Amino acid sequence: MLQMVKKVYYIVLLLLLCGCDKIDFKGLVMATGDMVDSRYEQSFELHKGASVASIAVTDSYLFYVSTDAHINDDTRNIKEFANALRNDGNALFGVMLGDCIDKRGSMPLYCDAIDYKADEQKYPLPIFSVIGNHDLFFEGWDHFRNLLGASVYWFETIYDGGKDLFITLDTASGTLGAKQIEWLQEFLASVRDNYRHCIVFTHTNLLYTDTSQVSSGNLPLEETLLLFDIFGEHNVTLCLQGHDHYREDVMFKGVRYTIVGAIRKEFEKAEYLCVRLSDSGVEYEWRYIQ
Amino acid sequence: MKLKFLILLLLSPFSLLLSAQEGRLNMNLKGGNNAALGHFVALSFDARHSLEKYFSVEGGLLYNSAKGLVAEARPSLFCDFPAGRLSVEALLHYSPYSGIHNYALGGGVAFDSRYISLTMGYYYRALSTAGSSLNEPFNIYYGLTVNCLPSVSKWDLMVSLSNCRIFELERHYQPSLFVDAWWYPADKYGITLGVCYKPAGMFNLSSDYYQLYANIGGCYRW
Repeated sequence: MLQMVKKVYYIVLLLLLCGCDKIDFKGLVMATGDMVDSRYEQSFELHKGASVASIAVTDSYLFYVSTDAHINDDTRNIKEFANALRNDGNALFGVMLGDCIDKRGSMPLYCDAIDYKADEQKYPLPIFSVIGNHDLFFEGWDHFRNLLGASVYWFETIYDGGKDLFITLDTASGTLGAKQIEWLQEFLASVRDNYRHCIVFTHTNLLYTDTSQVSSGNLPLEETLLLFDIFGEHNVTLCLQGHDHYREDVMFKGVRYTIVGAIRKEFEKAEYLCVRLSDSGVEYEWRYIQ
Repeated sequence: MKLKFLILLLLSPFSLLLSAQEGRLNMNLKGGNNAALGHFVALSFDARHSLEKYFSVEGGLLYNSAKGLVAEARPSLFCDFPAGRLSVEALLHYSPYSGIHNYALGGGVAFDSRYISLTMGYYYRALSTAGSSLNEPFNIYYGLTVNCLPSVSKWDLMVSLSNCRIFELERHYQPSLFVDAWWYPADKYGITLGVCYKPAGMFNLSSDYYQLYANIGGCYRW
């Protein structure tokens, strides 16, 4: 009996100490790098609270959204997404909703895959990245910050007569943390009225309305309810989420919540979403990786 | 429907006070910090009553300065064995936080022995507000408590991992760690002390601080 207990103890200790290249078991019980409040502060040191991009658009335009690439070695799907985006004359930018990588040290591979390639792509459009929980494994925040930048930021699109607001949140630790929540409330209260649409991007999904994701977590319930309240109160148009790997689309308190299915290569129907924003609202077109 | 549900919750534990054969009444004061809610204090009253040798009900009310009201009731049927007590329970939980009515209905089994208590059950949750509703069709609740001083009559120290303590019903991937102590200086009166730590993101394998609170309370038993 004692021998068995010792074996279990050594196995657990080994898992906590090293994990494997894909799963960082330390994260089950402790933060594996900077905590969310620290990542928020570092993000604001990078952009000083200002918009990271102002994109000129017409009053009706497209952007592309993908999520959960979980890149190991094969970048084919995310490259196809980047090619489709940058060869579409109506699109203005792309967003990757997190879990960009799946394996220790794969962030440079992901960055290379989303870089503009003049020989394959017509338009040098930006792709904004959201941080996901897998991007944090093995102290991945340092790689994310150095290669991609902030995890909490906002940008805007400007058309003749109006603007749209896009907010990217850091939910990779399963909570926004006190500082990010406070900023979000104050920011929406002060600027939301200046914009036509407000779109929020998060990695971790707020919804738990089916059994597609029994084993992996999202936010604590009271934080979810608080976000529902904040988004409803400030008339957020759309909240786009990843993490679940399965598509979901519901309205709650006047806000549309959509979970985008994964684009990872292991998926038979890897997908991404084309969103059209206009005066009449939001329109979707779902596309699949060939 | 909402009013009936709330009335049922409120009345189910307290309606048995008059005929209770044995029971316990607790008052607790909590104070702590939560990443979403900020600093908070909470006052709760809960009771557990046993009727005959097979039925008991536990329930009560909590008021949280940041979150508002929470009500919960757990009627159960139990059977005593030499090794401990086996119970089958129903779960009713209600909270109207942030203008969203949060109802949960569930049921489970519990086994309480001298050293260890285990609880496992299933619940269904509905979130509703004016014109909108969401359902969470699959949630598991669970709890594991280890009694560290079961042979000391006036003291006990317990360590628990659970997502379903009274007034706290979380999604199954969101457990909290509790350390509680009881002290009964007199037969009928006792004092409780406890701390709770709740991380976020455990099952994301990227956990972070979410909540820490301490509680102190008084207990009367008969």
